[in-house]
Amino acid sequence: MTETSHSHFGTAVRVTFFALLALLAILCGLLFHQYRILRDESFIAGHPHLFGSHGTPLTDPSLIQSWMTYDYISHVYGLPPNYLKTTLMIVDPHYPHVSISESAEAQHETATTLTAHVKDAVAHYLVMPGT
Amino acid sequence: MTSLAVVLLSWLLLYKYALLFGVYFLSALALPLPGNTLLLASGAFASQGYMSYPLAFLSAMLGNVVGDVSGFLLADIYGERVVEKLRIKRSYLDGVEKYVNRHPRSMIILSRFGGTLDPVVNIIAGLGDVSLKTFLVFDVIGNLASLWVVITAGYYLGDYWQSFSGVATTVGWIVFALLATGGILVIFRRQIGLSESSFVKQFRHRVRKFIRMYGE
Repeated sequence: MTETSHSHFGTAVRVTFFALLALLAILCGLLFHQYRILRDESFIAGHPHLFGSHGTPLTDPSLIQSWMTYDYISHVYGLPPNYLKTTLMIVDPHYPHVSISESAEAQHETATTLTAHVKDAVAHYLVMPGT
Repeated sequence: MTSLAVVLLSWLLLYKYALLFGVYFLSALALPLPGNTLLLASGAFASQGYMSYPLAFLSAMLGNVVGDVSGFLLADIYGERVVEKLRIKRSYLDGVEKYVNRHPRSMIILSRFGGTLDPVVNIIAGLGDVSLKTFLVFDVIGNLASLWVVITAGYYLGDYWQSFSGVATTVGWIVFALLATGGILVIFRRQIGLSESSFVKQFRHRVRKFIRMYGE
């Protein structure tokens, strides 16, 4: 290897090393920021559902996201299998193995709107089960 | 969460273990897929009774090991030819290769925790003198430990895993940066301009003396 390529290689290694050190410092700052957010939202103070009560149905509909499938939502909230289909008049033949966002596309709705409807339907069921 | 992660989470609920296997297989071959986010979610889904903890762990583990071994074998068979075709100077790889040949166990196990480092070490081990048996044994040990940490974290975070997925991603990147910085520091100490100080030499000598005195 020539002297020039040696020094080029050395420079590349040094630049990579100091770039990684800078990245490490930024990531540590980001981690501290994320920790503060979680602490302010009292997740780190010990949320009732964290580190325990596994396997019991969920009671907080705000956790529902558009990527979730109806099958999963029915399972975790303890809903009857066809509750969401009848309540929201879902016509998708793939129900319950379809996500809210895919189903929204098929029903010409936005995923945000349909997610809000699903949250309302689940909240309604949790208040008055069996209706 | 990225849009790719959101799509993959939907697919995880639909295809479960097959998707975990596929994602871990492809990410072991250097495709940038959010494997750890999916495994964290799988742990949470297992805690909710929607997925099986041992099956999720096994499928991720199997996908990663098969992907790692494929990467290792591909580098072993075609590596030299690719290095020549890409006109990468062989001497640039020599330092890393020498280190991996000298410390294959620690290098393979530690890199399993380093995300993107994993496929890089597979390729370098394949290019070097590491045997398939050694690679496989330490790949399995490293994967067992690293994947267990992620899936178990998801299991214990349970219903609120989504709130912690950002933290988990950041921790993953910190581990990557630490391992990469440490690796460069150890392998390319001279190029960075750091020489081994007499303090380090003396410390190493004292540790060896201590081991000789109490280790026998």
